[in-house]
This record gives sequence, structure tokens and C-alpha cells, in this order.
Amino acid sequence: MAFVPDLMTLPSEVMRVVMQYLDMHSLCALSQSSQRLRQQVTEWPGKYWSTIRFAREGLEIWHGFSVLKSTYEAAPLYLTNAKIEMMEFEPDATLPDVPGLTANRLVIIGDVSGSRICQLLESVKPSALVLEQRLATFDHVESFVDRCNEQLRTLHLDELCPQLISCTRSLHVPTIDVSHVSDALDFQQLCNFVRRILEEWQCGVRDIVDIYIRVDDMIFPEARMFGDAFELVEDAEYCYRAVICRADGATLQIGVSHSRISLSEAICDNATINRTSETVDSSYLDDLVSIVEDSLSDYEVYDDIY
Amino acid sequence: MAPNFEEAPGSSKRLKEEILYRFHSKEGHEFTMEKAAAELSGVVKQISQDLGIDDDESIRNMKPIPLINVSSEAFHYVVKWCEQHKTMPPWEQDKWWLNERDEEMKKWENEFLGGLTSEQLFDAANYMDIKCLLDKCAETVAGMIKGKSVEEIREIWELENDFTPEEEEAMK
Repeated sequence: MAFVPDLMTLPSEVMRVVMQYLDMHSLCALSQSSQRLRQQVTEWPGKYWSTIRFAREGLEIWHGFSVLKSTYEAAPLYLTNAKIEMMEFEPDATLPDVPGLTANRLVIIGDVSGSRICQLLESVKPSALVLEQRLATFDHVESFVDRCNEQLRTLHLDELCPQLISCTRSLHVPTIDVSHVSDALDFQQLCNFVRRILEEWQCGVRDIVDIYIRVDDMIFPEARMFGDAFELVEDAEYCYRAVICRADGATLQIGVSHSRISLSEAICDNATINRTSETVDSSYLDDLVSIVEDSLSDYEVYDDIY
Repeated sequence: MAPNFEEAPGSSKRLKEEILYRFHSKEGHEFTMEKAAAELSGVVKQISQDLGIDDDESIRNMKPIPLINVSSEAFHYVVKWCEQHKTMPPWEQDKWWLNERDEEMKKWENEFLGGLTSEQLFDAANYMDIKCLLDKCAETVAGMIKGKSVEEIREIWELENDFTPEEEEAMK
């Protein structure tokens, strides 16, 4: 073009389309060049689509824009140095059918059918799948399990979907992470869920390789009764996480929180779940231990760790 | 050199047999555009719909559509673009990757945009809601931005760094 259009005077509608054609790094540079352009980039509603465009261009996908929108609304581009590794779908969005689309991690938000997820797993070929959805219409569980076993290294489930709980036994994905059910569970529910998982996996404590209760690096006396039964990670807002490893190496992570720890934070960096306060409410922990103990009373507990 | 609007493809001296929309530019020049080309514009389609224009005879009898924000120069280019694209499949706004164009068309588009001397066409494409043109303009601007550092963007577009040191630090 023989002229350089003035970015500051281009109608915002035009700038929005311009941004659609930019890659992440260019968007970042643009947003850091002036306040006005920064505002346009951060307010741009098409960030979601751009993630798909990045995917189409064969880049690794950065999930941050929309998933992190609530957390990083004012500064989504701060994370551009983070690893670009995810793509996402918003609720009710038309799911893309893009040839050559690839992603390390596929995040699905909203109620997407199991059959559609299978399709996406096949076409996008992620090694990690995050289901952050209601799963009300989850179907084709067997196909889902097959597909997961075939290609996934990690499966994150954000809902206690009965169909998926019942299929965990068939899942041989190395890591099944349900720690993000935290928003939906209280302690009792957590314990019930643990018990149910143990039943599904048909294993007692003895069969479980690596289950332990821990609060950061500090093993609580009350918790040690389970030895390697649970890992409890606690933060100032009480977030607990249990990690169960099956004998075949598959790992199940379970979490509970009394505060909302955003999925995005948890996904971005599990370390953010770690304790941030030195203060531990031991009575709270006692209650948990008691509940877990009751829930697992059918199982024999390691004696040698008392 | 400014286009000769009397000889332009969108001038009013068009064959009577064609189904033509008529337009008035900001300067009052009258232009015409063939139906299929004109209907690439969302605004034209909307106006036709609002006026109940649904047959060729109605289009022929229609008064010129006033485009008060589109200069004659910009409209000249709009007509050329739309005439060239009138047989293209409907533009997919949300699934842009489906908007494939052959090499010949891509070459034509690049040469077309390479000949522009002002950004009036951007405004016209936006005002007339011509998705395919708007997208091409945007893609071209994006091409100017891509790969540039913050400093390069500021230099090319003569932008003042209006961030505070604290904001700059936070963005690192």
C-alpha cells in the first residue's frame, strides 16, 4: 500500500478486524505501544477467535485471553510470555472445523456433547483435555474413553458427571485431574466422591500406590493415619487436594475448596493452589480427617504409618 | 492522478439493460453498481429490505442511495472491488478461513490495495458494511503491524509513549 493508515483514527470496527489478523506477539506489541491501542486490544471481543486463528497457523495456543478474562481482564497480555498451550471454546460457540488445527491442550467450556468432544480430540489432537462444562448431555462415553485412552496424557474434569465417574475405571489416561471440582464440593461430598472413585477403581487403600495427606511440606499428625492416602494442599482460603495414584500409574487428583480458586489459575499453574498462609485451622482439618476416615472405613488402612 | 469518475465502471453511463443500483457520493456524484456487486454491501441489502425492494424493476426505479460518508474517490474503488467480487461465494464473517480465494484473485486484491493512496476506502468499506473488502483492508494493515516491535510500531505510526514507568514495568 502506498500509504500507512493512521491506527489512531481508524474506526474501532476496522481495528477489531485488523486485530483478528494479528498473531499474539503482534497484538502484545500493539497493546504496549499506546494507551489507546492497549484499550482497543484489551476490549476486543474477538480474542476468542484469534486463538483459533493461532491454532490454524500452527502455533501453540495460548488459552489466556478468554478463560482468564475475569482474572486478567485489565491486563490479558501480561501473560504473553507464558507458554501458549491451550485452546478453548466458549459456551454455545460454533466449534471450529479447521484443517490442521492442533493444540497441546484442549479446553472445552460449556455443554458439549461427548460425540463432539471425540471429534475434536481426533481433529485437534491435544495431549491434555480440560472439560469445564455442565456435561448435561454427555453421550458416547465409551467412544470418549477409547479416544482419551488412545491419545491423552492428562484429563481434567471440572464436573462430577455421573457418566464420567463411572467410566474412570476404564480410563487409563496417566493423569485424571478432578481437582477443579473444588468449587462444587464440600468436604463430605469430597469424601463421598473419593469413596466412589475407590469403588469404581475397585481398590482399597492397600492397592493405592501413592495416597497421602499433606499440608504443604508439613505432615499433620491427624493426617498421617492415612499415610500416603491423601495429599492435602492448603492455602489461606482452604483448598485441599487429594492425589490418588492407581497401581497402573494412572493418577487421580481430587480437590475441594471453600473459596473460589479460579480454574484458570489452577490450570495455569497448579502451584497457585499451594498454601499461602502459615495459619492452618487445625479444627477444620480434624473435621476433614474425621469425615475421610468414616468414608473410608470400609478400607483397610496402612498400619505401619501410624 | 484522481480517477475520472465519468469513465469509471460505476459511472451512471451504464447500459440500460443492466440491473443497477444508483448511489450519490458525499460530493453529489452519481454512481451505479450492478445488482450482484452492490449487494455485497450490507447497507444496500438492508436499505432494499427496509424499502421492500425485492425485484429488478423496483431497483431500476429506486432513487439513488445517498452515501453521505463516502467520497467519490472511495466509491470509485468500492465499485471496482465489488464488481470484481460479485461472483464470489457469500463471505463468511465468523469462519474466515472458509473464504478461500484463488491465486489470481489474491494477486488482483493485492495490486488493488497497493494502488490506494488514502484510507478513505477503509471508512467506506466499514460504512457500507462490505465484509470482504473490510477484511482485506484489515488484513493489509495487520501485515504492516506483524512482526514489529513496540518501538517500531511507535516509530512507524508516530505514537507517543503515554505509559507511565510503572505501567511499562508491569507489562514486561
